[in-house]
Amino acid sequence: MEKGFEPKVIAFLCNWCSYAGADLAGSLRYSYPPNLYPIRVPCSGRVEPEFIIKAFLSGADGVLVSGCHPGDCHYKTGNYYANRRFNLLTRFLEVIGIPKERVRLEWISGSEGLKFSQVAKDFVAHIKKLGPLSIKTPIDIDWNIIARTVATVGSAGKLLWDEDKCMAEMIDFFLGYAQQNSCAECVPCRIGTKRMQEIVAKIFDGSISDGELSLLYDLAIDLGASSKCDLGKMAGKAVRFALEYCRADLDAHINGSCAHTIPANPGWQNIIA
Amino acid sequence: MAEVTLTINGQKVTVPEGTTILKAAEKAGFKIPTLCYLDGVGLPHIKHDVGACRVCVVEVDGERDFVSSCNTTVKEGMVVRTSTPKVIAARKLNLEMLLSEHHLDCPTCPKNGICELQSICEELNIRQIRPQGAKKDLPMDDSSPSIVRNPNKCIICQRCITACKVLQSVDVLELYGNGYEAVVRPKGGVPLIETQCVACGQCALVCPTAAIVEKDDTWKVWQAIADPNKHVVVQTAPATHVTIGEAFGLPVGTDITGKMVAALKRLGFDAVFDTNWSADLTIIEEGNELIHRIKNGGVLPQFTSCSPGWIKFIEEFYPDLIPHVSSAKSPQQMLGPIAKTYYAQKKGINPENIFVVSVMPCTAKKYEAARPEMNAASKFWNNPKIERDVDVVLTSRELIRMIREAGIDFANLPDETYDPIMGEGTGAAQIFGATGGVMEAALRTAYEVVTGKTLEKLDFEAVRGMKDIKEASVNMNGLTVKVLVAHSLGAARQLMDKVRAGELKDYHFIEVMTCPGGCIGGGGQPIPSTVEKREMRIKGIYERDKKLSLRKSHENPEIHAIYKEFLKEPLGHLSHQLLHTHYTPRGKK
Repeated sequence: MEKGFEPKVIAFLCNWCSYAGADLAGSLRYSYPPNLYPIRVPCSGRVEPEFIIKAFLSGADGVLVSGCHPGDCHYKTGNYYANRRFNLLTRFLEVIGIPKERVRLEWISGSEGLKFSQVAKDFVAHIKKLGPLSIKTPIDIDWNIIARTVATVGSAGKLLWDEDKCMAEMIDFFLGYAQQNSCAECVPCRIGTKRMQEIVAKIFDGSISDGELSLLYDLAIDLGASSKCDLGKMAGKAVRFALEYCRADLDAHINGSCAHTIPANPGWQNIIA
Repeated sequence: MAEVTLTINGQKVTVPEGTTILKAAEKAGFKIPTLCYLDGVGLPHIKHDVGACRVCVVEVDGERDFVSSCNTTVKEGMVVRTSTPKVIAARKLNLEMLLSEHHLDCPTCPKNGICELQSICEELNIRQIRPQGAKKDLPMDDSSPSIVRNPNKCIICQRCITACKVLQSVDVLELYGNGYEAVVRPKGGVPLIETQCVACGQCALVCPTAAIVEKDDTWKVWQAIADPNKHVVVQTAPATHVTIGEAFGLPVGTDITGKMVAALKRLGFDAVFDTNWSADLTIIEEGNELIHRIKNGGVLPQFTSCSPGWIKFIEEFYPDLIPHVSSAKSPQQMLGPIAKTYYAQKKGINPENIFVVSVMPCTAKKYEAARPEMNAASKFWNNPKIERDVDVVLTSRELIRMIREAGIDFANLPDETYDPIMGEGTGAAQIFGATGGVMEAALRTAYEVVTGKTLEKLDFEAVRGMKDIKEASVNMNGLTVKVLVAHSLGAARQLMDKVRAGELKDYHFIEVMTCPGGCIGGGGQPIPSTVEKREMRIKGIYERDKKLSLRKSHENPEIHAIYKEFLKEPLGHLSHQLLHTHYTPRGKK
C-alpha cells in the first residue's frame, strides 16, 4: 500500500436527512475525515447511477450514498428507489470492473450527527485500506452506450431507467431487443421471444387470459434455460423475474392503470439476490 | 486416447475424450431425441451440430441452464440427466414453438410421412400447441427446374447450409435476417436459378421438412402415358436398381431391377429401357476419347462427365478446366436421342411422338435435360417439333410416388425384363451408380481394348468405398494409367485446385461424382439417405455387378448392334452428333 495515500471519497447526501446529519456532526464538533466531499442532493432517489460512475471515472476512490431511513423519505418513496438502484448498480459496477466495496449506501437521519461521523471515518478508512482505484477514464463517455451494455446485463436493465417506467414496458423492451438481435439460430430465442411479445401485447390491452399468463411464464422458464446463448436466456429470465417479483406492475397494466402510480417495488432486491 | 467416465441417468459410462453427451448417452442406453442434428451430412466426417432446435437439451449438474447434448463434449465426473420433467417440458415447449409458426398442412405436404418434424412430435408425444401467433407467408421459389423451396416450411435447422457449403463447397444458401423475420434463402435473396446452385439436391436430402424438395413432374408423365398418340419410353438409372425397394419395406440395397421393370410396365409405359445400356455406350465413347487423348497428346487428365451437378460446378467455378471434361454426354442424355433416332427408325415410329421419361436418382438430371443444347434428336431430324432429347426426368422419389398412386404392390411383383434394343446392361454399367464405378467400368474396358488381353481381376477395390478421394494405377502395355476418384463437390474442389496448380499432370483420368457415395446418394433418392444407407446401397450395387454374366461394357451385345447398324464407330460422325456435347463457361455473374 502506498504510504500517505489520501483517498477521495464523494458523498451524495440527501438534503433532508443525511446532509442535515453532516451539518449536525459539525455543530456538535464530531470530526470526520477531510477526504469526504459531500454533495447535496434533494433526495437519495436523485442519485442516478451515472452520478456514481462519473464520480469514479473522475478520480473518486469511493462513493457514499446516504438518505433518510426507510419510511422517513420526505418524498415518500425516494429512498426505496435509491435502494433499488443501488443494488442494481453494485452488480453493474462489477461488470465494468469497479469493486462493489467502493460504494456504500447508508441511512442517516438529520439527528444522527454521531452516526454520520462514524460512518465517514469508517468508510474513508475502508477505502484507504483498498488503495487508490485504478481505472482508465475514457475521454468521452457515451451514456447511451453504457445504458445499452447495462441492458444486456440481465435484470439490471432497469438500472438506467426512470423510475416511472413499469415492468410491463421493460419486458416488452427486452423482448423487442432480443427479437431484433436474435441471430435466429435457436428456436427459443427466434420464435419464443416473438410469441412472448405477442402475449405481452395482450397485457397492455388487458385482454390477456390466465392461461396465456401461465404460458408466458412457461415460455420464460424455457427460454431462460434452453436458449443457445445469453441473449435468449436474458429475455427469458427478465420476463420470469418480472412475473415472479414484480407481478404488481403487470397486474396494474392488465387492470388498465399504468405503473407510473405504483410505489417502488421491493421485488427488485430479490432479483439481485 | 484418454477416457472419461461420467454418469448418465444414474448409469456410469466410460467414453473416449471428446465424445458428445449425445453419443455417450447412446452408449449408456439412452436415446436423446434430436431434430436439427445430423451425424454425417453425406460423408461420415461432416457433422451438423449447430444446436438450433434445442430438442436435445439435457440437465447437467453444476450447470445453471440446460446444455444441448449434440454439441457439448463430456467431462470427467459429469452428472447428466436426460429425461427429467423439466427437460421434457422444455423439449416439448421448444417443439410447440416450432409448430406455432409452421403451416401444418401435413396432408398435402410432399414430405407427409417422411417428415422429421412429424416424427419427432410423435416421439415426444406432442398433443397440443400452446403458443399461437403470426406465421410466415413467404412466396415459394420454383425458379429452378430441379428444386422447389418453400420458406414457410423451413425450421431454420441450417442442415441445407451445411450440405451446400461444407459438403459441396457450392455455398449458395445463407441464413438472413434476425429473429422471427430470419429466413434461409439463396444468397442475396435472388431466385435459386440465378445463383451458382448446381441442383445436386443434397439440401433436399437433408431437409427435415418440405422446405426444400424436388420439383414434382409426375403429372406430366401421367398425362403422357394417357395420351394414345404418344409412345412413352422410360429409362432407369443404375443407382435406382438398388434403392426403389427401400420405400416399399425391402432391405436397403436390395436389387429390385426386375420388380422395377414390372412396375413400370404396369404403370403403362410403352417400352422400358435401361440407362445401364447407355452407360455401356458412355464407356465406349468416353473410354475411346481417353485413349485418343493419351495417344494424341490431348488435354489430360480427362474428367468424367456423367454427373450433371459436377458439370454445372466446373462451368461455374472452374471454367478454365472445361477442356479436361470428356465431351461424352451422360448416359441419360445418350439414351434420349438414340430413342428418338435409332429406336424410332427401327420401330417405324414418328420421332415426334416418342416421349422419353427417365427415372434418375438425381435432381440435377432435371436441369441437365432442360439444357438448351440437349436437343440432338431435333437437330438430327431437322424437326423443331421434336423438343427435348429427354422429355421428363423423374427422381426415384417421384417414381415411388407414382407406384403408390397406382396402387401397385411393389414388394410382391414378379421379376420382368427390359425391352430389347436398349435393355441390356452389363455389370460395368451397373456400378456407375456408386462412387468409383465409372472409373472401374472404364478401366475394365480400356485395359482390354488397349492390351488386347483378358482382364483377370475385374474388381478394382482401390476406387471403391466412402473415402472421399481415392487413387489407383493400372499398367497397360507398359503405360501406367493413373486415375483419381472424388465424390462430393467439396472433394472435387480439392482435386480441381490441384489440377489448376498443375500438380496432377501425370494423372490420366479423374472421376467426379457430385453426390457423396455416388448416384446411390443422389439428391433424388429415398429419404433418409444416411451414410450407413449409402454404404448398404453401394454393397447392393456391387452384388448386382457380381451376379451379372456380362461385366464389361464392350461385351454388351446391344452395344455391338448399335455400332454395327447405326453409329458405325466410336467417336464417329453420328456419335459426335448425338452422343457428345459441349460446355458453357458460366462463373460468377
